[in-house]
Amino acid sequence: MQNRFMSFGVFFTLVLLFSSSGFAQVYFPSAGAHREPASAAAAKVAPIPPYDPHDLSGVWRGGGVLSDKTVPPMTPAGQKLFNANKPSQYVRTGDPAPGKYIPAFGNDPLAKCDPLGYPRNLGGGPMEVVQTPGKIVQIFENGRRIREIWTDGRKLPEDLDPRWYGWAVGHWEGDTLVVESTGYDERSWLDAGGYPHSQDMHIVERYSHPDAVTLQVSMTLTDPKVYTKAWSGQKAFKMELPKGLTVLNENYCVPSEEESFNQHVRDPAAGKNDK
Amino acid sequence: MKTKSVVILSAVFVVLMPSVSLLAHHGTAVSYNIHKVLILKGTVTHFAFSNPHSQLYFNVSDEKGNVTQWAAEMRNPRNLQSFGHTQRELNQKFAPGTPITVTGNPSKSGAPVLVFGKAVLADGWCLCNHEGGVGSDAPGAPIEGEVDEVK
Repeated sequence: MQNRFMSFGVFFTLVLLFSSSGFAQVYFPSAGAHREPASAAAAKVAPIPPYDPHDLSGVWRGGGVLSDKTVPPMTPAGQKLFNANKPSQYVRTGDPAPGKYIPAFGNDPLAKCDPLGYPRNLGGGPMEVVQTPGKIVQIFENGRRIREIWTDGRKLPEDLDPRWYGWAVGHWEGDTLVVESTGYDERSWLDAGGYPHSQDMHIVERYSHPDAVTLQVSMTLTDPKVYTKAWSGQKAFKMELPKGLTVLNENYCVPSEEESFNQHVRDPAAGKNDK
Repeated sequence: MKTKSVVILSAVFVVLMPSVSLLAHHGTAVSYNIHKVLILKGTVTHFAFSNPHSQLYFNVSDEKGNVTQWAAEMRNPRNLQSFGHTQRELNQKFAPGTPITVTGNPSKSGAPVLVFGKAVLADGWCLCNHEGGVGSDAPGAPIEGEVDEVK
């Protein structure tokens, strides 16, 4: 009886938690999107999943881990890169002219459907974690991109060819998964604000699973070519329930669709084609 | 009672969504004159349920019979789905040839493009209450942030 009471308490707390953060539809995919009626019905009666701190699998929603409010001072080279990036969909914190970047005149890689890269892809939309004995895969709904974290004991290669999602290895320290990564393609931005990085960017992440529905993510980014100090942040991700039934949307950025939208809507609205 | 709770929860969800999205919208407000509202009567030519924003194209004739094709920038598919709409439903509602009245805010450039506020069909069916787009139907009202998680 006490267990039942406690279960109800946990459930009620969960409902409050999600409601207060804007996700009143607790069991729906975080993008607030469509799901099959049978899944929706199952979601309403789904119990809190069994909890294992070493099992990170599930669909999680969090957001950007590094805040632009705590960005370290940039090197001259970093500042030059930053100034060249013109966000298309976001107003930088502290920008003296909010909204000065008209989407049609920005150079956000997203506007050409380039991969968002990492850690930008972590910053928006849900992420599914698929865990196998030797590898953890992060699947990001935005763009349906993936990142692999090898947990089979291998080391980061010495001579890396850069990749959009870098090279990452992880190991457990107690109940914390420690992930080290580098080798990131420098064409990606760190976030929608256009913060740059070099391919020597090095990231250490720590993932812990302190309760059934929380994934605590902390990140420290060092990139001496671009930033004069390390950039750190943390964020609590929440699990989308029910585990196993919550599915990611197929949210591709399709180049032909983007091009059509730009041609017929974005560019003419901004007067881009005017002589 | 249960229905009432669902309605209240949904209302809370809708109210909170823009605040979530303001950090991540596509900045559409920059390209449109939010102080001007257009109400256009026309005929649907094409509906695109696609990223990054869905689009409704429709022809509008002036008194001389000149036809202009307008484009309305709408919410992206995931946002439309979050309000319970499906691609199949909207393709039917916005089938080519359907008479339609579209309200929205025009582009600053003067091009025949507007940000979608609402659309009403001849039988009274309406895609409104900001479900279909982020434009306003009241002069001077702010454009809501696009509910889009891409960041």
